[in-house]
Amino acid sequence: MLTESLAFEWVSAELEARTALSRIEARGTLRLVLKNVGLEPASVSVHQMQVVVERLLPAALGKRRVGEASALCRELAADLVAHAQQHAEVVAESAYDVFERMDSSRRSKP
Amino acid sequence: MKLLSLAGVVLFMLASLGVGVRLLALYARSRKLPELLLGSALLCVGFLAYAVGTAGKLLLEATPETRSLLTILGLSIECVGHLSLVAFSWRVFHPRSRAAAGFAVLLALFICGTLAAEVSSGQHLRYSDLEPISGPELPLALSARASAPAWMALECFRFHAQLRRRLAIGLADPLVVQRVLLWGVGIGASALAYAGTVAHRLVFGTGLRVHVWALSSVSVLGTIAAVCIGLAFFPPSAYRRWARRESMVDREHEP
Repeated sequence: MLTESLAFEWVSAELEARTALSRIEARGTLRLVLKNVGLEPASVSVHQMQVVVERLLPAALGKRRVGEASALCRELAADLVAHAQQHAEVVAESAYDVFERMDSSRRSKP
Repeated sequence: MKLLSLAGVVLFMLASLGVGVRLLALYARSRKLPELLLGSALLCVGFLAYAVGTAGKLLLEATPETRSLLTILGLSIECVGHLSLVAFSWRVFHPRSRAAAGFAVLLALFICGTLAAEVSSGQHLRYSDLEPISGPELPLALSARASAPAWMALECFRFHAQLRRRLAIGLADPLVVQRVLLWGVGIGASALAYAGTVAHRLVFGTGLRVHVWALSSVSVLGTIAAVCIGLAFFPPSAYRRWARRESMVDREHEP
C-alpha cells in the first residue's frame, strides 16, 4: 500500500536514479531532511518538497559525498514542479490547512 | 465571592458560544468536516452542556425526576461534544493511521460506556445535589471526558513543535503556528479543569461548588481557555503584528 505522498515518492525515486545512492539511502536521506523541518513523507506537498529540495537537500547530499549536489537539486526541484503540473496530485487536506482556515477573517493562503 | 469565582466559567461559556457558532458558520460555507466537529464540540461542551447542567443545579427545589432529566440531557450533550473532539483529533492529525482510528474508537466507547454507567447507577444525580459520591462511576466518567481534550491538546503541542521547524525555512505562517499553540493551551486548560474535578471528587466526594478555592481554580483555567480560544480565532491586528514580528526575530537568531 502506498503510504507516502507522491512528491516524496517521485523525488526519492529520482534521487536513486540520478545519484549513486541506493533506494534505502535515498529515501532515508530525504526522510531525515523532512523530519528536521517538521514535515512528514506521508503529507508533504509539492510546494513544500520543492523548498526542501532547493534549500536543504544540497547540504544533506553533500554529506553523503554526492557530487555537484546544488546543481542536481536545482534541476530536481524544477523537474518536480514540471512533473506535478503534468500529473496533478490530489493532496489530502493537512492539519496545517485546517488551522490556517480557523480564523475569523478567513484570509487566503499567502 | 462564589459568583466572582464563576466569572472564568462564564467567560469560557461565552468564548465557546462565539467561536463555536462562527466555526459552524464556516462549515455552512465550506462544508469541511473539521469546522463542523470543532464547532459542535465547543458549542456542546463549552456552552450547551454547562447551561443545561447549571439549570439542573439551580433547580434544587425541583423534583428528582426533573433534575435527573436535565442532568442526563446535559451529560449527553457534553458527550456528543467530546465525541466530536475525538473525531476532530483523529481526522485532522492522523487521518490515515489505523492505530489512531482504533484509539479514537476506544476513547468513544470509554466515554459512552462511562456515561451509561453513571446514569444506570443513579450517581449522575450527584452532579446536581451536594451529596458525596458512593462509587467509581463519576470519577471514571469525568476521566473519560477529560481524555478527549487532553488528546487534542497533546496533538496540538506536537504539531506546534513541527511547525516551529517549518517556520525556519518559510514553510509556515507564524500566525498559524501561534494559533496551533493557542488551541493546545486552551483545550489543555479545559482538560486540566476536568482533572481538577476528578481529583476533587476522589478526595471530597462532592462537586467543586462546595469549596470556593476549588471553583476559583477551575475558573482560572476557564479564563485561560477562553482567552486562548478567543485569541486563536479572533486575533486582533496588534496580536497579528506581534506574532509576525516575533517570528522574524526568531528567524534572525537561527544558527
